[in-house]
Amino acid sequence: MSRSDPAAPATRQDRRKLELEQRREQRRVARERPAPSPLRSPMAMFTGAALLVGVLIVAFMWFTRPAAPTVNDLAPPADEIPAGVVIDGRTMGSAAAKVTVEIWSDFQCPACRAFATDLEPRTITDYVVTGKVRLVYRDAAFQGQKSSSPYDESVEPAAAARCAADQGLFWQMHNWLFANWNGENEGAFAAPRLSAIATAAGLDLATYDSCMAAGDKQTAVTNETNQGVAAGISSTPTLIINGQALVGAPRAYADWASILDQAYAAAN
Amino acid sequence: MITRRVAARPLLGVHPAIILAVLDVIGLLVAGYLSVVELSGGVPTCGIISGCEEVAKSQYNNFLGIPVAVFGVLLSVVLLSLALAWWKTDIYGLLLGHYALSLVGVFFDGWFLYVQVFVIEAVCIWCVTYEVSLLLRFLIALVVYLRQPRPGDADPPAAD
Repeated sequence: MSRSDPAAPATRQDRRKLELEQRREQRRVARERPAPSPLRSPMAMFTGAALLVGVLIVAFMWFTRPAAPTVNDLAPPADEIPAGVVIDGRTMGSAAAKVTVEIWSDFQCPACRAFATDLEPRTITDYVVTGKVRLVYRDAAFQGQKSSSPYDESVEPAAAARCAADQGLFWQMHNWLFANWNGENEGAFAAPRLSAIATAAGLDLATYDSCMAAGDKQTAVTNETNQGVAAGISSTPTLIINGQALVGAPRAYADWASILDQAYAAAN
Repeated sequence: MITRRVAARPLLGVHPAIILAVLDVIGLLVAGYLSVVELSGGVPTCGIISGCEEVAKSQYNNFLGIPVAVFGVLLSVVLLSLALAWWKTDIYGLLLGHYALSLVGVFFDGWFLYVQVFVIEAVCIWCVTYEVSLLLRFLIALVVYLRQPRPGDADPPAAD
């Protein structure tokens, strides 16, 4: 702006007035400028991306969630009951054995399954067949009590195993049940699948069906569970070795064998 | 814009990144404990509160064949790195990154809590502790963001 500009304000007052008008115009333009879209802000983009990733992860988890097992996907147990071992209902081993192990267990309990599949087979080979140890199975069928399932998924397999005991096949059924465990209260032991497991374990199905329908095995399971609770059984598996309680099973077979050896030595 | 530096407003008298970092360390310790126990084939100890064993042994406790706690460790390490980097640099995008990643984690933890309560019907107190810490991290990052001056706030109005 030069002094020779005919449009230039002549006085200081005019210049001041012009400056104020220019500032007002700048503010008006700034006000009227469209505001940046909130959807294009970094926060919105980060939120959108996070929501998208979160939804994708949850959708993946949902569509790949474990399906309820069916009768067609039974797995045979890894170990068989050795020939010649003495079996009487839910008891395995000689009545003259120096060590008696009561196994308070639930067919739905993961740690019970670990004991049954990892430690029991070698225990049977090393201690039961040799006459040192006698195993006695006891029902502590807790875990189905909190299920929203229409049937108790702990009591029903325990009752099925008792029906198998009537046919002399408790331990076979025991092994088949644990081999086909599929998580807690997830339908692994629904009635059709229990029937399929019973058939696979070698039970006569008609006898098994009538046994399960009678309901007295379920009552017996519940009664024994209640007796166990009254006696202080609050966790599964609880192993009573010649009267001494061991809550939870050792992970390593060597530790478990050491416990049995000590009990055997103390009994002699 | 997200690479610009904006001085953080203190929260409870300290840089908010320190609060986020403390919660990240808590989450890292919890997820680390669960990972070590589960990867070594054990089950976490719950003390008098039961449920950890059932959740740990559940098939839902694995994602792509890996215990979910391992993902919790990875998430906490990344979040902790973001929090510390934000503390040191005040780069605005690091706060947004912490916010977004913790939101992803909150989504997953919401799903996992649903599974614990309604499917497994057992609740692992360690998992809940991690979930609460993650929810707090998300909420704090959100509150900090809302209180934080935006990178463009201090700019003078643009002239035409």
